[in-house]
Parts: sequence; structure tokens; C-alpha cells
Amino acid sequence: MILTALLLVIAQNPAQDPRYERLDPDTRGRVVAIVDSARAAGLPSEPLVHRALEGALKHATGERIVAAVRRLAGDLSTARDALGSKATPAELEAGVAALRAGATPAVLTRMRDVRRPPVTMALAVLADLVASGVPADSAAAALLVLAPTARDADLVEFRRAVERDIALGAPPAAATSGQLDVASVRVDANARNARPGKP
Amino acid sequence: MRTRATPGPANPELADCARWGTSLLVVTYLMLFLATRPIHAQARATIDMGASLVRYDGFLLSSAVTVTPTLEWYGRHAAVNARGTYLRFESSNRSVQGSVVGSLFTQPANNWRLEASATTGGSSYADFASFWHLLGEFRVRHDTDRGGIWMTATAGRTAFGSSEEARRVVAASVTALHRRSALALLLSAGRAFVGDTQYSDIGMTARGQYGKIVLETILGARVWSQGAGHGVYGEASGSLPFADRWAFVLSGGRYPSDPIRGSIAGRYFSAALRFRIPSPARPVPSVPTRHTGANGGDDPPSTTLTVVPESSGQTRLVLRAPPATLLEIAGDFTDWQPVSMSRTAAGSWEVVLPMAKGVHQINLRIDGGPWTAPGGTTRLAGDYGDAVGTFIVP
Repeated sequence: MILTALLLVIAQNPAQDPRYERLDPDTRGRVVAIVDSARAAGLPSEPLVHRALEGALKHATGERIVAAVRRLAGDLSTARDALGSKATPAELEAGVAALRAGATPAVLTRMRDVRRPPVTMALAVLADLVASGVPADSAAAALLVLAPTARDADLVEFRRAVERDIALGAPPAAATSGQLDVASVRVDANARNARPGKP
Repeated sequence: MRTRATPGPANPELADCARWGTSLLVVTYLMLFLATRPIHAQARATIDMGASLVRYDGFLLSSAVTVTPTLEWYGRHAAVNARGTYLRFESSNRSVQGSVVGSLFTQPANNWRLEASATTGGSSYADFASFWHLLGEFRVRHDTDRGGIWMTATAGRTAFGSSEEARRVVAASVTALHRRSALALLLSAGRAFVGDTQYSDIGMTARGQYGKIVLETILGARVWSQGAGHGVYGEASGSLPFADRWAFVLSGGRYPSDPIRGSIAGRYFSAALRFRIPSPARPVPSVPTRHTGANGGDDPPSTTLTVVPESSGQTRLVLRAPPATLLEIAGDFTDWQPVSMSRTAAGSWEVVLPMAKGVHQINLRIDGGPWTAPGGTTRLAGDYGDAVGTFIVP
């Protein structure tokens, strides 16, 4: 009961969130203003709070924390525009990661169009691939091929396989291309004669 | 086109068949070993061993023991597909077929890809009928989100017996692929000229995977022909894996004559065991990043984080790290508050925390040193001038 009441109070008045106490008063006020503005625009607030808390943990200056939170709010807005108003907070966060990795908003929109929601994992894998060194367009092309039919677990496995090949020395783009061929349904010229024991 | 002899009375020489199969296995394994040396390539080799019932058009039903090795290799700009079939008929006559396709292709550019390939193959029956063919193909592919379309032009030679009897081959085809959920649908139409023989085929292939079972059907028709017969044909096959490397495979149906490869029309049913040949062992190293602990040093130790999703939304984080007194992590899942990890009896460090599915950010601190991205995570440039590790909870 007490916890529920506390959460309700926090939800109605974000400035009362005890986590903000880790910020100095000036920074706290500016961060709360950005968070309130973002919430009013329909954006999730938790990622913004987390970004501020990360800055506090790392003893960043107030200016730097505010700039980081403001930048993230802008990226969340871009991701929401690309993914649509029905995108969940997790999808938006993954979208931001993908955008920062180098994916374009158009790629996010196509991902939303080709994959049944949620697209969180597809976007997370996309961001992860690019962060691993796979060129953004190669990673996007690979994920857009897999996204319509692959399960989340398949995408994670795809990402692991690419990572493994990169660790073994493969150029990232080649690792992605090769794993894509493995993951996709292949149709080759010899398929018609592929029956075992076909006379 | 010559037809084959009618298989005679039963007299299988299984020992000979086994020797042949063993040789194929060794050759395939060597090819696979060589194919996997380029690290980024993907290779797969299988060998099917089974029995078939076959009735070539105009001949009696016969049975055969079969061995069918295959090898697929896919690299960045090239692919190789090799396939063979050995049949030992009950008449003790042998049939051997084989083909190798090598392709070079470009990387996709605006979803377009070019591919050039060469195909060579041959077949022989007993000691009196042999065919060979050598073809070149050029293919233009356009990939879409759910499939693609490609146009293929083929030219080459095919011969029965000596090369003096080789005939010119010219063919063209259009193929469209559509994927939907676990189903892939392939539609094709093509026309071929083989010497004086001409024919047009249309066909549809449907391939679906339902759990472990893979089913494939082919329906087609030779709609226009001069010297290659007419008719409707269809084949079906299914495979069911029952162990890590083994699968049952059933297939059967009716197929048309193939003037290029020198086979006559027939019906067949086959049952086989498929063995996936293991790839030569490759090391699968972890991907630790270098981490400088609080004490620094010329040779900084490495760390490796392993993420183990558990039940009820809990996730176990296991960290392998050099000797230390205190390991702390912080991330979005801890509200960026430091959380100490516990040392296990095995010498690693771990902590179990509630964590939602999706992408998470994490930093690691050893003995009060700087926050860094632990090895085993993807390093991203953070907003605070440092590196943040990201990982996925599936």
C-alpha cells in the first residue's frame, strides 16, 4: 500500500522522484524540465532519468548532464517519429541505439513496417551489429531481410554468429553477409536435383 | 536422347557401394575442411544414404541403393555447391551423377545484385551411357523485404559421349521468390534450347519449416516442347531431424526429362538417412575487451561478462575477471547505482538482478577504479566521454 501510494505520488509529480536527489539542485531543475516536456510530448521519461543518473554516477558536470539528457530527448523524438506513436518505450530506446549507431530513421520505419511488433530486439541487434563494426547499411539490409520472419531468438543468434565470426577475424560486413545467407532460405540452381537418391 | 537400360534382377553389391560412399565421405570432408579455412565463409556438407524405387518412363520398376553427398559453401563474394548421386541398381548396374556450381556475386547495391556462375557436371550409367555439360550463367537479382526476383541467362554445351557430339545450350528464365512466415514460395518460368530440342517449363516450389520438419513440394509443367516431351510433374520431400546431425528424409514424385543433364523422365520414391558432416573444429573465443583496473599496470587484465537469462524476469550476470577485491557494476537496470558482485567458488563474480528483455547498458568498476565497459559487451561511446557496454537480454 505504502509503495503503491509512493509510486502514485512520484508518477503525478516527477520532481518528487527520490532518484533526482543525486543531482545538484540546479541540474535537477533543468533535467526535470526536460523530462516533463518530453513526457508531455508522449515520450518515455525513464531513459532520460537514467541518462541523468548515469552522469551523476560518473561525476559529470551539470552542463554535461543536461546536454546529454536533452540530446537523448531529441533522439527519442526522432525515433518516435520513425516508429510511430504506438511504439513502446523499449522500442524507442532500441530505436535511439540504432540511430546513434548510424541507422537512418527510414530504416527504423521500414523495420516497423516489415516486422510484427515489438521491434525492440530487431533494433537492438541492429545497433549491436553496427557497434561491432558492421557498416550501418549492411547491418540494416541484413536485418530487414530477416525481420519479417525471424523470431527474436533467431535475431540474437544471428548477432552472436556474426560476433563470433568477427572475433575469428572476418571483416564485419562479410560476417554479416555470410550469416545472412545461412539464416535465409536458400534457393539454388541445384535444388531441383537435391532429392536424396533421386535417380 | 538415349534412354537407359532396364535394371535387371536383384544383385546389389553392398560392399562396393559402401566403399564408394566412404570415398565420397572422405572427399566431401576434405572439401569442407578446405572450405572453412576462410573464416568468414559458411560451409555445410551432408551425405544421404538410402534406398530408392524408380521407374523410368517406358521401363520396369527397379530398386537401388543410393549415396548422395552434397557440399555448400558461401563466402562474401562467392559460393560453391557440389552434389553427387550414386545409385546401385538391383541389376548391379551403377549410375553416377555429379555437378558443381560455382558463383561469383556482387554485394547488394540498392537491393540489386549480379551473379555469374559456372556449372559443370556429368552422369553415367553402367559402361555405355555418359553425359556431361558445361554451362555459364548470368543472373540479375533484385531482393525485396520478402523475397526477390531474378532473371537468368544460360549458355553452354552438353554432350552424350565424346565432345564432338556436344550440342549448344541456350536458356533463359525468370524466377520470383516470396517468403511469408515459415513458408517460401518460388515461381519460375523458363525456356531452353538444346540443339534441336526446345522446351518451356513453368514451376512452383513451396518450402516450409514447421518445427523441426522441413517440407518441400515442386509442381511444374512442360507447357511447350519440341523433342522433350510434355506433361505435368511434381515432387515432394520432407526431412525430420532426430539427432544433432541426423535426419530422416523421404522424397518422391515424378520429374521430366532433362535434355541438358541427360536424364529421362521417371517416377521415384526414396527414403534416406541424412548425416550432416561436422565441420573441422574452429576455436570460438570470447571477445574480451581490455580493462585497466585501479592499479593500472603495463599489462592490463581482461574481463568477460556473460549474460544468463533466468526465470521470472531475473538475469544472472557472470563476470570473469582478474584477481580483485571489489567488483561493482552499474547500469540502467540498477538506476545507475553501483551494485557489488559476489565471488563464486569457481573464481568468477556474479549477481542476479531483475531485468527486462531488450538492450541494456552497463559499466564495470574494479577495486574503485574508473568505470569501463566490461568485455563481452558491445562498447558504445557514452555521453560522458567514456565507453558504455551494451548487451541484450533475449
